[in-house]
This record gives sequence, structure tokens and C-alpha cells, in this order.
Amino acid sequence: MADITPADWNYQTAAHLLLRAGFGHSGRYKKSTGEATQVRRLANLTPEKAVASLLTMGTSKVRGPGSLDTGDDKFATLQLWWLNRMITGLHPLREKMVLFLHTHFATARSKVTKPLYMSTQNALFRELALGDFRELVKRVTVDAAMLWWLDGYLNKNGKPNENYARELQELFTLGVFDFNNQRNYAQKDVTEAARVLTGWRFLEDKGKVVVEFRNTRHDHGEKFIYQSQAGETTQNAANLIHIVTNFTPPENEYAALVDGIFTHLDTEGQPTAARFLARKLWKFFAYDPVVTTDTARTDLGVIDALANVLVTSNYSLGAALNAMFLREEFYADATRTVKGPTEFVVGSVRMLRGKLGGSTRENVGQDLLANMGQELLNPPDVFSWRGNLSWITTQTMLLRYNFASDLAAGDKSRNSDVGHNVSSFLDPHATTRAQVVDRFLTLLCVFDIDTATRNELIQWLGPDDSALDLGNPDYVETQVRGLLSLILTLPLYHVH
Amino acid sequence: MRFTRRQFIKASMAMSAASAFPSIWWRAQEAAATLDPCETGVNLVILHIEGGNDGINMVIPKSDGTGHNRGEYDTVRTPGGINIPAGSLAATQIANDPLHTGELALHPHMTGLKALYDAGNLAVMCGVHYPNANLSHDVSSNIWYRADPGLVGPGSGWMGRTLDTLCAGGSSSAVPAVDTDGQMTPLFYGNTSVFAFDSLSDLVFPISDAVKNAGLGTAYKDSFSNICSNAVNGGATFLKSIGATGSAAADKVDAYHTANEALAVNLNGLRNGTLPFGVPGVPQRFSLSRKLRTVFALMKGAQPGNHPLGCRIFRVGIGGFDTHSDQGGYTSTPINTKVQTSFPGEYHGMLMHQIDRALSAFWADVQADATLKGTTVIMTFSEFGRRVEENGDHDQHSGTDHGTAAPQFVIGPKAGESVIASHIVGGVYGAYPELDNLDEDGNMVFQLDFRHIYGEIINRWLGVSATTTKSILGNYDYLTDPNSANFLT
Repeated sequence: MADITPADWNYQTAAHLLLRAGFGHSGRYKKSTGEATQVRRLANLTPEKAVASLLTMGTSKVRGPGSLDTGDDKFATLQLWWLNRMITGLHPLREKMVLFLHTHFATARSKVTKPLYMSTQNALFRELALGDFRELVKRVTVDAAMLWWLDGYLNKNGKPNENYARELQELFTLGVFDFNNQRNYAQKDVTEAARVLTGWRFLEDKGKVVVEFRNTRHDHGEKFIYQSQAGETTQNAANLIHIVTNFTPPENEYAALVDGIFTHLDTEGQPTAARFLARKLWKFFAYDPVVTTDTARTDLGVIDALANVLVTSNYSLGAALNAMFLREEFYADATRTVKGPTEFVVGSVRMLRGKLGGSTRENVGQDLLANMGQELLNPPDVFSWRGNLSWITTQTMLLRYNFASDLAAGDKSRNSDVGHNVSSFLDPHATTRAQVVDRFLTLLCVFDIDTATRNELIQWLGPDDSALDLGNPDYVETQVRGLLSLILTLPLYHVH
Repeated sequence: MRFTRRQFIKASMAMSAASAFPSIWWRAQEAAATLDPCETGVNLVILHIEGGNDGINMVIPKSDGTGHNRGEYDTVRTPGGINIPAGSLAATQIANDPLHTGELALHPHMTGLKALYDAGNLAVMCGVHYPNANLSHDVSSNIWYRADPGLVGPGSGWMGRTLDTLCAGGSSSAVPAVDTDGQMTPLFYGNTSVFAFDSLSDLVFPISDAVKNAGLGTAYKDSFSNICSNAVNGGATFLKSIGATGSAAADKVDAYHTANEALAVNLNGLRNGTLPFGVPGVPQRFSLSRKLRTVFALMKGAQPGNHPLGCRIFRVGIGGFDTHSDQGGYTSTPINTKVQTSFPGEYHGMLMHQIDRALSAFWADVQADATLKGTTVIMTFSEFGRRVEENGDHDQHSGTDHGTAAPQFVIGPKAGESVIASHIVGGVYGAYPELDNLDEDGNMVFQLDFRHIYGEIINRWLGVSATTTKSILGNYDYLTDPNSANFLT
């Protein structure tokens, strides 16, 4: 329960940080040692400075391509644009955070069928990637894509639509249950919050999307959210959000609601939203500190430490990441977690300095990741991707192996290619199979491999070291590329 | 001690306590001594209607009875909104509500299921849910998957626990179930290996051309398999899972693929719309049909004597039911025109049509197959029903918010059709909730505990003992539940 010490900080922990706080290192490496230069540079700093170097960046208002035209191909352009930012961008942590926020506020093109809405929301996540999370919740609440996705535009005076009001509390801020397995809110709180959120809608004007507040569609009545119900003892009386009749200005009512939600205390008197977000950050970037979602409580310590940072920093996401990346738990073996499809694909292409290829944009931008279970901008539902072990099925693993095989073989017509001759990764002075194997393992940040598996890889290169024939193009094409493919399919490569 | 991969799977299955096998499994064992308990017998297809199905518009009150349900229905669900007119229900009428005597009908697009009902193969359970309803999709889905209303039991799924019982003591690495979505749902969480995939054509173990052409394909696959075994033998939890999944892939996938090649051709035909399946008529390009076709292919592959596969339990999902808006009502446009124009004004009706077409086509396929006939039960569920009253302006944009109880369908062989003694008794069960007698949140009060349905399925169809069934259901004894259904004998 402490921060990682300089004594424990090394090449391996630095590589681990780059994998989790981004998509792996940049793929540049030192010919003589085979070490990735970016990893080495971080490893030579203190942990504080290493983490700070990743978090140092300006605000980005970059928005991906997106028009009001519908169609798979139009979305593929946007999806591919984002993937390539992850692969080649200067700040992979920013894009990783955009991915987190997309996972958190899961919105899908299955319903929001126009790319401009999604690219605008994506740009909002990018702008506030390290910013104030409360502010972000407010912006998302009146974001056009979200108003469309969760029916906010249909929510009006006397005819409330509860969809957004429920997910705002359940998925974006509080969660259904607290860590004491008590409900954080009741159905009545959903209905009342829906009334607060009435009046917002979006329209299209000259190729742009405009969000507007219509006074006449808004419910100006009095509302009580988190009011203790008769016979109910779990709701803290101080949680009450009271919206007076004719609240002014009415277009700020939603902001008052969001501010109120962030003061909600759970039945243990802890800040509910901060705990909820802290757990989600840990879960996305590292591991889930709570083993089963509903009853068992395992490691509330790391959650509360991060929740405290969130509260004291006014919900600064940058401050939260900084604190999380410095915790020793972030680097512990026990917290290993399964790489998601995006992390696997982007990380592999990045670290091998490859390129995404394929015959059409849809092949790459949509199908490749969709088949592995994670089409960007198209989560299965508002609960988003379930993550961790749910990524691993026979089908999705086969598709990962397929991608690994294509990437290693440099099959450009399929998914990808390594971009250049695989020989360039090799140490020309290597004389043993083990040297070749270890070089690729270092390059792809596979550490702590068991002896039997390492021997299996060595055996793949030939029965003894005299079989090593790096000057022979056929040997390189089959054995060396085959080795690369095997490493990309190692169970150890699919966790970080 | 080191396990080989196969031994490991066997050992992991044996971890759950073995209990007495039902007679059907022993008979199968005697008939073909090489078969695994997992690898033969009856089939079960579980259809999850995802997003919260508006059950009131799937099994619809046609007249009042003592529950005043039609009158209340017409009050809160309006023409122009999501109302299905009583006049459109004549062709799909089923038996009356057992408790309040009001007439009931299936959605007017469910003519295929109505035919199954008339044939005695469809049981309609009314008002099914659980105590203290939770209106979150995620929480409520988990409650249904785990058969655990309080979410206080183990995190495993009710089918995972059932498989652990059925497959205990198995003699090979059979994989007895498939989740036909890309991601595994908690329904199958347990100690038994389960596959998850949605398309047979993806099931090929990839080896690059260069490696294959050099004659090293087998060596590559061996290396891969050994590495997976290493992870299974020594790795942390996640590594074990990845290793075991990789092993299953390398081991089983080519067998699946080969055994089902002919059916994969059919699957492609279905996807292209060139092959209508099961029932003639409207081509079935929608995903539920494709998934059920895959299930059919896998069931074919799992027949005794052709058993590299060994699947009998399947989960299939159909999404899109979270109809907060634009749910649609019913229009008099002829069905063929609706199909061509994607059902304008009838979004939920389109989904009802898809369920009807896909299930009746699948059922027809099963009936037409001499070895599968009489072996298969299909059950539907949704995480919850929806609010009784429509939201919005009572216009075409109206929808329904999250609710509670909903009807469930069970389809299966009736007396004389079933390969085992147990069979379906078609009819209407439970009680239709009173639409004017709601809970404080405006939701229906449930009439039939969902665990009762599970109990009959586990005990009577899958042949697990009543005692073990009770333990699988977290000590809920379906036999002593006063609101019994007995749709399975």
C-alpha cells in the first residue's frame, strides 16, 4: 500500500507503465542491446519523473473526420483515423484516456449513425482527457451524440424519458450498489432526475450539429433527488438534491444535478462518485480491485486512496492517473490483466513499427477489431465492453492468432505488415537461438517467461544452434517470422 | 505433478462433486461406450432477448376478463403510440389468462409461434420475474444468468453449475456448450469449458503460408499447443484461461470446421439470402436466424457417431429491445411490404417478426432431421419487461422505460415426440399481471418465479436430480413453490 520506490524501478516496470498507460513503446530500439529506447529512457528516470513525462502535454482540440453522411465506410474513416493516432501519435496516453472515456460513456454508432456526432464526442473526450471529470459529465450530458444515444432529446415536460437519467447515475457516476451492497438510489430518483434533464435536444443546421435548450420543453417544477423514503434507512439525508420551482436559469438545472450527484455519500459515508470512478480507472488501466461485483470486498484501500485524490484535486483525471501510475500495486504481478483487442492490435503494430493494411477501410477500421470483440465507436450497449476475461473466447483468440500470423508474415493484403524486413530486428552477431528469441521477447516486452516456454521457442528455431541460418532468406521467412508469430500468440503476451 | 492439457481439463471438471447421472446419460454410455456424458442426449437452446423485452406487446391482453387488462392497456398504450389493436389479434389468440380469464394473444406477427402453440409445442409462461426487481440491464441480466435474485451466491451461472454437474466425471475434453456471441456471458461461468463464437467460418487455426509451404505446419501447431499447456500448468489465472482457450482452439477447431463444412455452406447461403431456411417464404438475413443456423449445424455435428464436437447447450442472443423511444405499434400494411421496407412504425413488431421467423424456421429444421427430432427444447428470457404505460407524447416516438415481469416461451417436443420420457405440455401458465394493480414505481407485480422455470428445465429436461437442482438454484425448491407451472412432465 505505497508508491513504487526508485529501487524497484527498472526497465521492466518502465515497459509495463508504457503498456498500461498507452499502447507500448514507440518501436525504436537500440541495435546493440535490442532495448527499446523509450523504455530505457523512462527506466533511467525516477518513477515520479517517468510518470510526469507521460502526463506532460497540452490540451488537444483535435477532432477526427466525420460528416453527417451515414454509412459503414464513413465510420471506417473515423475509426481508422483514431486507430492511427493511437499507433503513431505523440501522446498515446491521451488516446488511451480517450479510449477509457469512450468505454465509460459508451456510445455506439449502431444507433448514432452519423460520424459527425461521434467525432464530436470523441473530441470532447480528447479535450478533457486529463481534465475535470465533473465538468466532463456536464458536457457529456448535453452532448449531441449522448442526447441521441440515450434519448435525452425526447425527454420533455410531462413526458419524461428515463433512459439518460438512469445511466447517468448507474454507469457514469454512482453505480447501482455501493461497496456495502446497498442501493445508491431508488427508481424515484431516476424519475426525478429525468425531470431535471428535460428540455434538451439537438438539431442539424448547415452541416453542423447544434444542441439547444427549449424552455417550453423543460419541467420547471420542484424536484427532490435522493430524498429519504419512508421506511428506508440507507439514503444519507445530506444527499438530498432539492431543485426549487422555477429554478433559474433553467438551462443550468442539469449542472446543479451533476454537482449534487458528486456530493452523494454512500452508506459508509464515502464519496460515492469518486469511489465509483476510482474503481473504474483501476479496472481499465490495471485490474479490478473488487473481485466479484456485488458482495466481496477485497482491496478498498487502493480505491479509497484514488478516490481521495479525485476529491482533493476537484476530480482531475490527470491527478488521478498520476497517483495510480505511482502505486506499487500498478506494477504487481498479481494485478496482471488481459489486453483488450485494441491494446493487442495497436500495441503489436506500434512496437513492431508496422502498419495497418487491408483491402478496404472497413477491413481495418471495423472488421478486424469487431471480430475480436471491440469495434471502436460501437460498443455492444451502454454497459460497454465487459473486459478482462470476457475478451478470451475461442473465437476471439483465434482471430488474435490470425492477426499475429498476418502481422508476423508481413501479409499486407490481409490485416497488416511489419513495415520492413523482419531481419532488421535481428542482431547480426547473434550466434545462438536463445539470443534471437530473447531479442524478440525484449522488443515485445515479454518478461518472466517460464523456461519450458522459452525452450519451446528456441526449439522452433532448430534442433541446435548450428541450425541458425539468419543469412538465409528462406530461414528468415519461415523460422524467424514463425518465431515472431509464436511470440505474439504467447499467453503471456496477451496480458499486461 | 504435471498435467497434460487433456488431463487438466478433465481434472478441472472433476473438481465439482460428481452426483448420480440421470438415466439418459447412462443409456447413452452403454449404447456407445466411447461417448462422454457431455457428448450426447438432449439439447437446450436459451434465447436471451436483450435489452428488456416489452412482454405486454409480445403476449397481449385481447379482452378484459376479471383483470380489466384490455381496458387498462388501451388507456395507457394509445393508438398512434405503441398500442396493438384488439382487432388485429384474432389470428394469434391463445388460451385465456389462467387467473383472470381475460383473452390473450401473441403479437400479430407471431404466426409461426401460434402454429407451434396450436400443435402443442409452445408453453407460454406469464408474469415471470423475481422478488425485489432491479431495473438495471446489467444487474438484472446477472440475476437471470446466475439465478440469484439477491446476487449473494457464487458468481457462477446457473447453466455453468448445471454443466459442472452433468459433465462431472467426463472422460474427455468435451466442450458441452456454446455461447453464440463473441463474448462469454455469466450464464456459463463455472468449471466446465464452454466455447464462444458466432460464426463457424472463423473457426480455422491460422498458420502462415510460408510456414505451411515449408512443411512446418504441424511443428508450428505443436509448439503452439505446448506453450498453451505450459500456461495451463503453471500460469496465473488469466494465463491459465488463455492457455486453455488456446488449447481448445488448436485442438477442437479444425474438427468443428471439418465436421460442419457442408453446413457452413448452408450458413453462407443463408447469409447471402439465397437460402431461406426451415420454412419457405421470407428470406432470413437477420442475425438471429444466422445464429440459430449455426446452432443447428453444431447440433448436427454433435450427434452420436459423429461426436468430435459434443455441444448440447447453446445461448443465443437477439439485441435491440431497449425501446425507450420509437417503439412503434401496429400497422395494417401487408407483412411482405413491411419486410421490404423494414417495418416503418413497427420497430418492436419487426423484432417480434424476427423472433417468430427465426424460431419457427429453426424448429422446422430440427423436425426435418431424423436424429435431432424430439431432442431439443428452446427457452426464451429477457432481463426484465417494460413499464406498462408508454412514455412521451403518445405518438410514433413513444417508447417504454424499464419494467419488471414479462412472459417467457418454452418450445419443445410434446408427448410422443420426445426422445426421453419428459416432454412439453403446451398451454398458458402463471398469471397475467394486473395492469391496473402496479407497484409503487408503476411496474407489474410478478406472478411466477423465474427459478421455477429453470427448475423444471434442469430437473425434468436435463435430468439432474431434484436435490441437485435445488442446490444449483441456491436452495430454491421449485417443487414446493405454490405457483407451479408444470409445463414439462
